[in-house]
Amino acid sequence: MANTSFTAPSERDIFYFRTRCRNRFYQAVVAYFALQAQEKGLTQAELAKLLGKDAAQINRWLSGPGNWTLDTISDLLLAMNAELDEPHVISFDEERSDARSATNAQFFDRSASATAASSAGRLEILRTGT
Amino acid sequence: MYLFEDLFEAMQDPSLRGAQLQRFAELEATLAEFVTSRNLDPQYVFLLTPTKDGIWEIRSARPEPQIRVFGFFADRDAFVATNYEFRSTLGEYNSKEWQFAMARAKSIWRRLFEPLLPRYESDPKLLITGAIDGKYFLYRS
Repeated sequence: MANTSFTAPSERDIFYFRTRCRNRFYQAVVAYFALQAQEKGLTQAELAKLLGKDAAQINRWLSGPGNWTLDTISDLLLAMNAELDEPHVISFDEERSDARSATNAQFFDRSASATAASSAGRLEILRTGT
Repeated sequence: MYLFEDLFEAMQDPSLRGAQLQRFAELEATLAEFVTSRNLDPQYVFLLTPTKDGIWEIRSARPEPQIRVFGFFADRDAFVATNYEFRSTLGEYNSKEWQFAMARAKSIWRRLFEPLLPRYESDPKLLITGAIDGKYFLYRS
């Protein structure tokens, strides 16, 4: 019997989660580069030299994940003497804490004209008060 | 991350199809990154001039067409996105269209929160937990 707990993703969700996935890899690699730059003085020029690439190419890679492939991630991390740990996959049924979800509710409490309402746990919508 | 209703409704418009649906879904993912990502890269958000207005833009640069989202920090880690424009409609920086978009951002803020003011800081690290220092990403050809 087919497992009915799975549903086909919507077209919107497919596009949304592709970008989200790409952005997560990007933020992780860029954060690691910044850490190595801070702690060991690594520069983009040095990274370019290690990979035999043009410095402009490295700058483009570190400026956004638009043209990244899985190979890009591997190459950048390898040049920094690193690799991804076993990626952790989570179910949407699991609770997760968002990095910046603890926003200052007091600010909105003080505002007489705006209300904030949760929207699907992703972003919050502001409406003018009635 | 808080979105003014016009922006939220534009992203969630059920009549969107094809490339438009894809582009706005990607924009939503970019905005949601502010909420979920432990770190934020230095290309994510920029303070616009005049800096005294405290208007920031989030750049959703890829894929084309590029979109700019305007907004303010109500507090640390609390970004209020007020309005958006396609980059192509804004023209050169400081154009009439840019000024109109920034004036609209200020108008929405006032409508929502007056007399409260946004946070005025020029350093993203003071406004965003986990903001990555941009000094490591400077590039001169």
